[in-house]
Amino acid sequence: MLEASRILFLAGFITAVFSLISVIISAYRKWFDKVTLISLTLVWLLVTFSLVLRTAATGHGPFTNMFEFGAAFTWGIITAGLFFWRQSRLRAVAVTSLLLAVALMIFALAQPAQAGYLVPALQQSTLLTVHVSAAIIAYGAFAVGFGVSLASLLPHADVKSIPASPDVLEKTAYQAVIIGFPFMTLTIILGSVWAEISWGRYWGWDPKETASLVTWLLYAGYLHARVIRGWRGKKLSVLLVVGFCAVLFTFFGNFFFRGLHSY
Amino acid sequence: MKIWNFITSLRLALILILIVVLLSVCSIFIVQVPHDIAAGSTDFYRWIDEFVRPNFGFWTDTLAFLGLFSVFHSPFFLLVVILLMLNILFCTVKRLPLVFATLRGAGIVSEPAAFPDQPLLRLNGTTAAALAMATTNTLLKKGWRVRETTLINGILVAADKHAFSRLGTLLSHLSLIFLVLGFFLSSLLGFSEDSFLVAEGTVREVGHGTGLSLGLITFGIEQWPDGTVKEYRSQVILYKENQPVDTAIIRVNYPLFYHGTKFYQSYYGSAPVIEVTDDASGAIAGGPVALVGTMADQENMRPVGRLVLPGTGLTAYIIGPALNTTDPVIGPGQVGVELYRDNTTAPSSWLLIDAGTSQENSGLVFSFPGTSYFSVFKVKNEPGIWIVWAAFILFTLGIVMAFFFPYRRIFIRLDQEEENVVVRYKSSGYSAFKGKDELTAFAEDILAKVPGKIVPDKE
Repeated sequence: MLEASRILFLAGFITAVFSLISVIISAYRKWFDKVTLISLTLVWLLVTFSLVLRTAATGHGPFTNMFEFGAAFTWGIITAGLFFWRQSRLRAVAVTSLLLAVALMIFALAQPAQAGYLVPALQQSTLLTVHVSAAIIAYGAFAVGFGVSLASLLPHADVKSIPASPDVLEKTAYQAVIIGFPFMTLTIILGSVWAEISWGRYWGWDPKETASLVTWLLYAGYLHARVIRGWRGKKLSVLLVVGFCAVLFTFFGNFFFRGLHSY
Repeated sequence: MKIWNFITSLRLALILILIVVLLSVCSIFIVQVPHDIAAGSTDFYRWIDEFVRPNFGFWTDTLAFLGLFSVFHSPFFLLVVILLMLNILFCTVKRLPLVFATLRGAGIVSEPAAFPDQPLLRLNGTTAAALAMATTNTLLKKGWRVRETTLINGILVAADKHAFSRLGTLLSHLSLIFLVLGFFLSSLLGFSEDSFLVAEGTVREVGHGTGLSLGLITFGIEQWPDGTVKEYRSQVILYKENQPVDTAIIRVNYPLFYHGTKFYQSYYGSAPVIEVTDDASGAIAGGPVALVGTMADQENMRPVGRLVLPGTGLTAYIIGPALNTTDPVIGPGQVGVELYRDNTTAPSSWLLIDAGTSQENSGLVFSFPGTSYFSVFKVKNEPGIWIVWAAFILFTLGIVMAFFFPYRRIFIRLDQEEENVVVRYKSSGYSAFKGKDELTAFAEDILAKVPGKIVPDKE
């Protein structure tokens, strides 16, 4: 089953590459939009089944090493990308989601994929599943926000594949953040509850905890700036690009910093 | 007034948040002092010299002065957090009248500043009153709060929904203050001990005025097929004023709670049982020696524990096999013993003892019956923890209310112009309808209840 899971994931990767090419072609051939929709949906199905098989094989959610977390993060991005693309039909959403997904899939495929045994601290399957799932959904939504923000910073006249006004892109980014932010909040709260049960302290300024707080603060700052101060335009887009950089730093931080999350 | 406006300003909040972000980022990249070492203490400076100065060199003293090796315990960080909490509190208080006014319906009392010039539609064959009634009934059925106002030539229908979500923002901000309060309460009135070590077969007092003692009856390890640790558990007995009050098995994710005091399984290690006797006095010292320290040479890192030999002028350091390699000196089932005379820094003797054997040295007999374990717990009492959990719940509730039930307002102005009713529409704040489809469905719902037909727009 583990091997089947990896094959499905690899197939998902190949399909994602095809889908990315398709969405770029759709800027010049409109009917490729349908091909993109079908292929993106296929990517989602392949990655989903890959994760389901892996869960069945290991007996726990796919969240315990960087291959699994990379695959799960990919799922989050594809899910959010598919959802927002169907809502908005913005090519920027599809392009950036697929670009990020492909990059993350390359990263995941490069990681050791053997299913290891769980260390004692991770043997709390309810909290493990809910805490990390919330993070995946948040990261996926933030990825969409990042993608459309990046697109809004590009000069539109030169980019045929991103035909949308800055206002529409900005509004889509906001909608992505108002989904991602509550889930990021839930991730931190559930993480604190689990840390209290497992390590005896709900907050310890562990590098991963601190990085996730920085991410949360950046998005909280974005929401305050937009809703209360009425910020619009490039300032907000830059903030969302920085915010997603913080997400990536939180995700990859385990490679650089020791801490209680370095499993 | 200016100061009040600044203290309650969002600009200040954003600046303070930015400072917290920058300090947090610093803490990720700059090594932080362990929790159990107080900043500014002798141990702190020893830690700086041993672990920091080799890496930071010339910059060490400057960074230490700026408090960057202990960011979250520095007075500056504390000041920023307090200012942020005050800012949140004052901002919340300042916005309270608006929140309660919205709850009372102030949002739909007055007409909005301007309607679009272009009407939404014109209807012929009905009256403004009939259309207003149909609109009001439809809105009421959909859960809106509605207010009709008679105008000179028509009727204004104002409606809002989810006014309670204004409370959501209030809750989520106040809960941040509760969170910090809960933390401070625990810090001031509670205690926390990170490395409460109990060797197998021994009892240790918890202290801190609890009257509790914890005895480790047995310690066990379970392994996965590949040899990695699956689980480690401590079978314990808890005493209160020397009377047993509870027994439990403590393991990771399964702490022991007793009347506010909590025992969490932290880590463990081996504790060779060493017995030291001499002919004259009999037993000098004995029991499990927890190998909690480490000593390293170029290739080997070995666990080490200390055993004081009272009345002998000697201290024994018990050394286990290397953790990182195959030890060329101390094999499995063996311990090394280095003896130090008081006030010396070089060992006076060295022994290598096999399990189940004894050796004589310096007039003493060292026996090594075998190895047991020690277990390390985190023990704490947090009077403020319930405030922290309540804050989390309130924050979640606040976020759900504010994000998933956003406050919506609409204004529909119905002007009677001879035989036609001119309909203008404006929504305020968050978009009242989830796109054109919902607005269209809403309009069709109303139009089905009144006679008349839409007048096409003039070319």
